[in-house]
Amino acid sequence: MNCARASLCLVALPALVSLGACGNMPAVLDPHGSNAQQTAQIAWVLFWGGGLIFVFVMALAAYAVFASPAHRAWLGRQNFVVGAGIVFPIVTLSALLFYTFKVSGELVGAKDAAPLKIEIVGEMWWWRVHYVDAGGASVLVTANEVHIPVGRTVELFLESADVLHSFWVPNLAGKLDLIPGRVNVLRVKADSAGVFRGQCAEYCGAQHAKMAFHVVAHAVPEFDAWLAAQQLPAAAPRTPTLERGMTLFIANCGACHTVRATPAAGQLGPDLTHVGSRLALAAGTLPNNVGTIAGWIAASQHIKPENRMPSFDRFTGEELRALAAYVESLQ
Amino acid sequence: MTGPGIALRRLAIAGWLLLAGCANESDAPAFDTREDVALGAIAFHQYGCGACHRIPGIASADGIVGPPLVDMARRVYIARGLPNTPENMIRWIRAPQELAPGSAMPEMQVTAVDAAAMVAYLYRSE
Amino acid sequence: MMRTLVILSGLAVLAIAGTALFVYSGVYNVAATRQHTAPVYWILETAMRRSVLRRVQEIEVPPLTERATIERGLRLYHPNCVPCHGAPGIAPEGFGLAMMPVPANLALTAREWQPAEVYWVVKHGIKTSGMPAWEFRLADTDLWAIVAFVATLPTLSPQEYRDRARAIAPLVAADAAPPASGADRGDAERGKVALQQYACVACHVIPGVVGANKTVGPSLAGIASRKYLAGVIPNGPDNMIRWLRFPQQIAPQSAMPDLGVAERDARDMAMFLETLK
Repeated sequence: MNCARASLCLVALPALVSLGACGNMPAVLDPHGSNAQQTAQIAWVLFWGGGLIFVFVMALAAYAVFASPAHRAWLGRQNFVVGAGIVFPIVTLSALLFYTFKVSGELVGAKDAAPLKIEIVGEMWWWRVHYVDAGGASVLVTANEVHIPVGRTVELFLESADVLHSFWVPNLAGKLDLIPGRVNVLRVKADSAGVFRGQCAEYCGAQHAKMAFHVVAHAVPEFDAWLAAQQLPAAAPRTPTLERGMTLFIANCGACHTVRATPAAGQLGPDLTHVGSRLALAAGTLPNNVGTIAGWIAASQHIKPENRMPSFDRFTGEELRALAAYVESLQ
Repeated sequence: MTGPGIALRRLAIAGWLLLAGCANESDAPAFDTREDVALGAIAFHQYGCGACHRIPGIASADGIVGPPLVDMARRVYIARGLPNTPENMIRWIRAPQELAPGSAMPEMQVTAVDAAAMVAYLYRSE
Repeated sequence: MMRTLVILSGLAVLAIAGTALFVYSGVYNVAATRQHTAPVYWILETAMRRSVLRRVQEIEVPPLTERATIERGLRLYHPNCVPCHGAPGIAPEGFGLAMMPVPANLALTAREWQPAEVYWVVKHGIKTSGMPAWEFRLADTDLWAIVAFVATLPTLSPQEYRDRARAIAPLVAADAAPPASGADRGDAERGKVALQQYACVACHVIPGVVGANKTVGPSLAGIASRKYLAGVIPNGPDNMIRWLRFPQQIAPQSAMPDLGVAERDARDMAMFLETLK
């Protein structure tokens, strides 16, 4: 095998292998909402346009290097240099400018007649979520998970309780900061049902990396059913273990957490009335099941150091399990 | 080298490669295939066992509520005085309250397939 | 040529003189209450293992799976081996706990040694350890019966061993003295010695203790940060002392036996374990 073929193999093989990893597109290039769709479109136009220009310029450069002097003389002529080096960039970039302005305009505008309004308050390091009605009154309080109906514009009112955070769910929209003392409005509209992971995108302290959330888009009937279920009070305990768990919860957790229809009415931490139905715990840090609930309660400071919840490590094994079982039963 | 010589050499190399592949497969115990070990790591992630246990090889699993799951292949006893065998380990993972009532480890409704994969991971040679 | 010879012989003389000085000065502490240094421990363990391996090549291992053989092995194991080695859920006698090297937990030995090697050690004993030679005290078939029984040790839970041994000899019950409260803090250095003397090193990996690398029970690395002891009681100084002294009360069926740990020793051990973050 001669030198040229060997070097081709050296390059082609890794390229082929990496193409095989095309299965999972990054979320920014996998839009499921109108906002993300338009952003991705701009990105692809820039990518392919730039790519074509790159190939063209490289071809010209190769021609300039390898063609015979007689053939490549025209490359040096002034007309060509002005045309290709000044006129062409001006035309192309201006066209690009108008295009991106047009699309960006669509990103901000397009108001629906009756958008769904959700207030999101960023805390260190979790997300307080209030669903509000048209008049601004709160109809549901939850945390760390935002459910929205497909095909309807959702207005997210982004506020911060302490420092700068940023709301970023790449499948649906770009980033928008949560600025203390200010309300930013982000409009998203999901095109299809699905579960979309989001992340805080502005450094906000030691556990910024563990401040994630999920946006779940449902078809409209499923969304209405979800909202109705979430507005119900907490399920009453049905077994002695769950009763024991509830007693422990009210005594130890009620100072910071709310579970509607029990005496637990604390406001410092997330509302836990339906925590069992959420996808994750501790703002996307852990999967949600009875074991991880127990692990979080007993050692939250180890899992997410300096978060506002202390580790509750004085329960016996029986007590911890009863408490975790009760929290898990809050579906 | 002449034509038949080249062909023979290539045949020999191919044969050696095939045999090398075969040798690994026959030595490994049934429990320890690479797929089982990989599935075990995935199962640990999905059930969130790392919230309570430190599991070597899984960076996010560094819990301190329960004991670290190190050297499980060499342990004599697991849980509470239970001889360390794959069967006992699966029993423990799936029904801890039956074997050690009062333990903080809850029943996680682990399926039999997931428990077997977890055990393959725990017993893997490190 | 001459120069090389002179240098070599000079080095040899130095080596011999150095060794003699080391030995006669008595500088190396042979007390069983003091650890070996890590390199010396490695040399002794490795030399022992390699010596045994070298000598078991021609041994023919008879069949070891007959029920009758194993039963006979248990009848011999219980009076002869338990005093030093203990059994599942049963602590060795005081003199067994206090030896260095500590008598191995034989359930772990069965998992890591071949039957021929176990037979050789039982028959010939091991120099400078407490392991006696049984060659002149037990017939060859009896030695193999013990090997057959030891091979089954890893499958026996503490409850099972107790049930089977009950028929042979009465078991000695452990004292259950109530824990005394005291205001003085423990001594971590003394606690480290106590861990050796109660043979904790025979079952647990304990960072900072040479030779504590056995995997019968869970590793104690990071035990100070762990939230629960035996998964049942919350970790803390008082609970740790309770656990060290009366594990069978807190978690019956656990393989950790009641070792008769005195309150002061438990306090010191707990103090040392507090440093294992």
